[in-house]
This record gives sequence, C-alpha cells and structure tokens, in this order.
Amino acid sequence: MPKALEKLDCPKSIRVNNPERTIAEIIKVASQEFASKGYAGVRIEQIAEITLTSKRMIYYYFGGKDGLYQKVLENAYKKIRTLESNLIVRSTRPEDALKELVEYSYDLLQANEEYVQIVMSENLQKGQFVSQNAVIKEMAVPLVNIIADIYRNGIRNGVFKFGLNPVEIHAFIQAMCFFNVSNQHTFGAIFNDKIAEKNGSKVQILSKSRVVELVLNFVKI
Amino acid sequence: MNIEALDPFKRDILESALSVFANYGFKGASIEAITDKTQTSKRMIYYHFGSKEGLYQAVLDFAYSKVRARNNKHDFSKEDPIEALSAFAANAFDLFNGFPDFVRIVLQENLQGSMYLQSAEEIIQVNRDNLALLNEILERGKHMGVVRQDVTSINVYMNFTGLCSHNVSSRNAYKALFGIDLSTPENLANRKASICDAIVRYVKA
Repeated sequence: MPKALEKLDCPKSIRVNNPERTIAEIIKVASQEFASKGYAGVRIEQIAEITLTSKRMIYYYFGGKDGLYQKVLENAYKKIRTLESNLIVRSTRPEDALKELVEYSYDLLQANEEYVQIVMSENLQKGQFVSQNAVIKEMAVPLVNIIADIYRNGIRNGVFKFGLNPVEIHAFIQAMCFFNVSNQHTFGAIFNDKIAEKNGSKVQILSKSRVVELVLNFVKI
Repeated sequence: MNIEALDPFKRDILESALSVFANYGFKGASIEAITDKTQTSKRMIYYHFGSKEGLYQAVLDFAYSKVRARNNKHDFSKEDPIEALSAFAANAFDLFNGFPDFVRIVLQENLQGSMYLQSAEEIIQVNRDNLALLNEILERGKHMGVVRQDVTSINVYMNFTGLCSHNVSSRNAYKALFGIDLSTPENLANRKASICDAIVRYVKA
C-alpha cells in the first residue's frame, strides 16, 4: 500500500476530516469522566488519551476545561429534556395522569445515571456553571408544563388541593426519583439487609409504587 | 466519635477538612486547601490522622456524629405518634438545612460509590439507631390504629431523607433554572410544612 493511502486510513486523519464526529466523541467520553470524577477530578490529558485526540485539539474545540464541561452539561440537559418531552400522558383522570408522569420520571432517572451524577457534581459545586449557561437556562422543562396541565385538571375536578405550584410538585417528584439513584450507595451500605427491592444489579432504595403513593398523597385533597 | 470530648485543635482541623471534602470529594480535595483554612501544618495533619484517607474517614465520622448529637436531644417517645412523626421529619429538615456540608459529603460519598461508608461500623450504627427510633414511633401508631399496617420504617425514612436532602442539594439548580430561591425563610417554612404534611398523609391509616 502506498504511504499516502496508509496515512489516510489511520483514525487520526479521519478525525481531522470529521470534526463533528470528533467533537461528539470527546463530549461522550468527557461526560463519563465528569460524571464519575467530578469537575475537580477530571484531567483533559486523560480525555485526549481515550479519544485519541490531543490536549491542544480539545482546547481548540472547547476553549479549555470549563468550555468542555459546559458542553457536557448542555448535552446532558438536552438529552433529558428531549426524553421528558417524549412523554405522552394517556390517562384523562388527573390522579392516573400524575401517576403516569411520576412513573415516567422515575424510570427516566433510573435509566440515566450519568445525568444524575453530572447534576449531583454540579450541585456540589453550587451550580456555578449551570447558572452561567444561557443555553441550559433557556431550555423549557417539559415535565413542569405537563404537571401544570394535570394539576389544573385536578383542581377543576375537585381532586387536588389548592395552592400548589407546578414547580413545587416537580421538585417533590424529582426529589424522590433523584434520591433513589443519587443516594443508592450510602443507603445500600447502611441498610443493605433492609432494602429488599432490587432491579437486577441496581438497588432501588425507593420503589416506584411508593413514590407514586407519596406524590399522590401530597397532591390529593 | 464523642464531639463534646474532642480536642479543640483536632476539631478545628475536622471542621475545615469537612468543608473541603464536601466541596471537592475525596480525590479532588488537597491537604494544602485544608491547611490553608486552619492554623495547622500538613505535618500535624499526618501526625494526627495518619493519611489523607485517615483524615477523610475521621471527617465522615465527625459529620455523622454531629448529626447524632442533634438527634439525641429530642424525645419523641411521649408524643402522639402522628405528632412525633411530624416532629421527626421537621427535625431532619432543620438538621439538613442547617448542615449543608453533611448533605454534600454524603453525596460525594455516593459519587465515590460509597467506598468508605461500607467499613464504617459506627456510622452505620448511628443510622440504624435513628431508624429504630422512627420504627418505635410507627409501631406505636400502628398499635393505636392511627398508622396503616403496611407502612415500613425504612420507606418513611427514605421519603423524608430524600425530600429534605434534595431541598438542600438542588438549591442552586432551582435558582438557576426556575429563578426560585428555596432558601428564603418563607420558602423554607412552606417546604418544611409540605414535607411534614406529605409524610403524615403517607402513613395515616
């Protein structure tokens, strides 16, 4: 094989010619790194090594560690918000509709542990990056809008109590669904014999039906 | 760990180390950042705690012991079970709200896969004692017919721990994403009342 062709076949030259794919791959690897190590623990050199790129290239595309981290956050939120917007509530009874929404939220976070970890890390650094990220701040939160519709119906039907705010209901649901994933390790270590509900290798510190029950009890008259 | 009997010099190191570990986790924290916050040197930290790992374990122990010291001051045994339960949840809310570094270091420990807690017998016991206390309240309620029979203490415990912890840990996200400040006195009072109400509704027969 002529030398020139051999060079074309090597992955690095493909990357140079396909920056979008390279960027996507760097974000994917960086997401895993930031999720498992947190902002302080991540080293750009390591991401460059895994993605077969260079520190210089990452700086060129993202401007530095902060820029890369912002993209990781954006990507994580975008993915979750898109999945949230896929929810189609079928029930017309407000209680059943809320049950569907809670179940969906529960499964969504359980299936997206990486997102949960990234949000945990970001919360631990006091949200300093999210608060500066205009893209994330402008993303609509589909679940809040769906909750607002369901809540309005529930009030009209006389089954939900007055005076709640959709964001508050959202926070309530998220608290439970998030905690189920975020605190699974410490609860697993402390109460391992008391947590009977396991789903494969995943510990469910709160079962889905109990979260539904708690939320409905909170919202119902 | 007996907080009251702690040497003030060691306590000062533990307080500073707690805030650094809560911010950066075990790996991200540097001993220099801790010595910068205290009057001590790296050498003294190693002398007292052996290693970074030893210091981290002492910090976790310290954080949980502070929680226990506060829990012990309440006597729930004579109250009406429903009122006691509400007080128990309110106590957790105030505790977490007043001690965000505790919530944060527990989250760090979760992000690390809980590698240190697994061997921390004393911490595990603190939590189990607390659960036993809650269990007594619920059993009393069941006996009196005011708490439904199928409620388990571990579920109730996780319900309010989750709600109270999330209220602290997600504070910044709610501010950034919804423009809502969860930490104003009014919002805190409302939230505490909602959580207690939800827990009581959950257990009532």
